[in-house]
Amino acid sequence: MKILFINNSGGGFADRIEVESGTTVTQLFTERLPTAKSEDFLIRVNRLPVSADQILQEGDRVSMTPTKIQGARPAV
Amino acid sequence: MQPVKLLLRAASKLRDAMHQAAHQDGFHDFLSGLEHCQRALREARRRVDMARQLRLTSVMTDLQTTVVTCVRDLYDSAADAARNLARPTPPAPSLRFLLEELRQIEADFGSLTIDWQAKAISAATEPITLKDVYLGPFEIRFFWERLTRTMDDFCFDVVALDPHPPDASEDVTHPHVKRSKLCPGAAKKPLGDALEQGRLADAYTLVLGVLVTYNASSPHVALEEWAGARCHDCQCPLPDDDRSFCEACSRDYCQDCASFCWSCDGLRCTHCLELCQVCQRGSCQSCLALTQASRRRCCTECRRICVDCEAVFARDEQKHGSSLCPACRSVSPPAPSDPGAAEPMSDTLPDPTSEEDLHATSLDSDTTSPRAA
Repeated sequence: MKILFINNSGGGFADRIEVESGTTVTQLFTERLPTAKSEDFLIRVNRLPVSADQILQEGDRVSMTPTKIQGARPAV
Repeated sequence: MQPVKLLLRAASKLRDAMHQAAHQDGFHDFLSGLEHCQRALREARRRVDMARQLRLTSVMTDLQTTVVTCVRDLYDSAADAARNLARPTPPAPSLRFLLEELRQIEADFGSLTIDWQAKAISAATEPITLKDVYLGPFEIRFFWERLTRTMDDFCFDVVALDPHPPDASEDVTHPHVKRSKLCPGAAKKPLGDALEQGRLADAYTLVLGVLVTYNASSPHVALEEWAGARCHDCQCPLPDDDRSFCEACSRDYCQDCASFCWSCDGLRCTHCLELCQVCQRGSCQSCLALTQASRRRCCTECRRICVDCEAVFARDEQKHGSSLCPACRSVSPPAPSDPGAAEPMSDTLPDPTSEEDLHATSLDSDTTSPRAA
């Protein structure tokens, strides 16, 4: 099934992707952000906060945004 | 909460700005880049032709290399322009989408205000404290007209609502905010992508993510220095031109809490100075040495080196005229001119004699020796 996946970390990504039916939010996170910790991310489905075991549906809009981001002084 | 009518109006303004930005000057920029490369190539060719006419063979190779470089640059620029100009312009997000974005910002931040005159949408954060330094709440302001110039962090101002700038700079209200401009760091790329796609709520979340995180490797002002430099000892404020740096512990002190090493003149804090146990003056630990006989730590002025065994002893253990340590003096023979004296009294050492003579000197003076008997 197809969902809209938005990854707001690193280089960023926003596109429709194919996922297997029955995929949970946690499974998607682990697959797409294997080195990240879910507690450092704001994860929403269809703009709403969700539980880790929520099963994704066709057409869902899933966004994952880091809540702690390193700012930096611009190079001189 | 903002009435739907006002949110719709704001969403409409946003959509217009995004639509205008999408049809903006990527076209102009790419063609300008191409023209610049063409001019550079023409100039490089002109130089080659002139060098050929003047028969300047020594520079010909370099000039031809420049021409080749210009040709490559032109090729790359043309390929880049062709690729980007052919890309379809993405449609601006729908009104409904942008309305949902504004509602989400309002839900995430608790409120949202629209400044029609400034053409800005604002949301305020909770008070922020980083590493026990209170920075206060900030207002994240998004100026939608700036989208027509660029789709990145430039569209945002981050304004301190209860500023607590560091002593060093009033312009800095947060380690990563100076003159209301955010240094997005790792958020720059995802922030730009979010704005290009109209995901304004994600952009606000990313800005907040930077504000609640301290990057110690690259702040405008480090949090450790937020309250200004202070004397490490008494904590009094230290102006830039009134700091004493202790080279032993590498910390700053005021003039009252710092002094100089009596031995080496190095600047030290009072904690890094130790009193010489002879003269009671302060020296740094590396300038003090332990005397072997009396086990006292002495400065360079107060210690002596035995000329015989090279042991360190204190100057108050030195007998007038002797350069021997107490241990060596105790085993050295008395001077011949004064056999009863325990210590030599002259300023100079006695003339060296053979061991036999010494033995003989000590036996002649001993009435209980076997020979005497």
